[in-house]
Amino acid sequence: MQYTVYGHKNLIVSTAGFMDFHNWRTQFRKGLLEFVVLALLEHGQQHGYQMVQTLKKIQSLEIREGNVYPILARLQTDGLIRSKQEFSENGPPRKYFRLTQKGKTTLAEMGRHWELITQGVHTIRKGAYV
Amino acid sequence: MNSGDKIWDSVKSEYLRQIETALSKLGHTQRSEILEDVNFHLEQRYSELTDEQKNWENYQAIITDMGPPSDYADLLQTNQPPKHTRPAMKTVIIAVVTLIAIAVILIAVPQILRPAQTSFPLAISDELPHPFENDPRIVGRWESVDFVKRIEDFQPGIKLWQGELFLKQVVFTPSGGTSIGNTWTNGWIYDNKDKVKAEYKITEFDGRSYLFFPWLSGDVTIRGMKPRYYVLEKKGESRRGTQINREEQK
Repeated sequence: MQYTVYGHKNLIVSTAGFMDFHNWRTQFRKGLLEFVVLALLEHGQQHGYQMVQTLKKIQSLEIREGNVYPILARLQTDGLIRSKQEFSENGPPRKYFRLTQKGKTTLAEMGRHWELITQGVHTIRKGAYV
Repeated sequence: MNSGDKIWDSVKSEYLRQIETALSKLGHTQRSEILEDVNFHLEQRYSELTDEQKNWENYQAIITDMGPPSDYADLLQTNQPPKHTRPAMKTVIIAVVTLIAIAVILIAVPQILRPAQTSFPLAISDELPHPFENDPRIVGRWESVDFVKRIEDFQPGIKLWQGELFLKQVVFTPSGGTSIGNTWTNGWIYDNKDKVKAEYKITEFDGRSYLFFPWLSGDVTIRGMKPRYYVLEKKGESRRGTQINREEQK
């Protein structure tokens, strides 16, 4: 069992190792979520609840339902998506999101980069560069 | 938008309040938009519950599905600073060298003053690893049954501690709070006043859940000793979880 004294006079002493898989996974997920949200919107406008239901089906993403909203807020601030309210006969108005032209361009670049990265990592794992 | 269901409105309001606190450094517009979207989402989830499903446990399950408030701030942060505020490389190097020098000095002083019986190896890290990750097993009410020096000393049904157990019970809320002022994340208990954390463990014996709760006393926080453990047994779900979390957040 481990225990740690943290934050004392800006000094952290830790009995844990430096390699923290949990932290790596958190950072990896964060970058991936932006890409995935943009990719979802490539197929047409969607509202947040609808996107969450789709993303939850990808178990490896480990997405929590609230995660999509700060991502959407940031993408909107960065000008990659925009939103608009659409009124519904069956309930309250819903906010729909769609890609901007900048978002489409960024998504295309992300997609190319993703292909390169996955091919490169796959090659390394197969030992091709060793 | 209130549903008329007081328990649900209370659970939802508390969760939104915690998100608002987590996002307090954001601009008002961005914060308001996120809160509005999350509120809408929560109401959508609530509307999908049948009358039989409308109870405190299911409300907490919805909140757990949404994720901890800290996630919202974490996902909004970017690693890249705005271009116009990025410091010159020379300034960065000077700052890093200065910090390292200060860190070296600060390490040397506590090492001299620390008692010799501290047996744990020390290492320096630049990061505070405090993401919140839920552990559904720990959420709820636990009652003390023993106090042991080591986890392996515990024997179900046999109380080793001869005196009265100071800690009677602990309630763990789904958002990382407790009824005694500590906070928690998956696998860890935090004492935020003394800046100490220690691992907890949950085991099963004969169909009963036991929590080994590290007692972060002064021996641990000041003298660097290993913690002892309260052994607590899981009881029925607490209906005061939300209220307790609100009180401990004040």
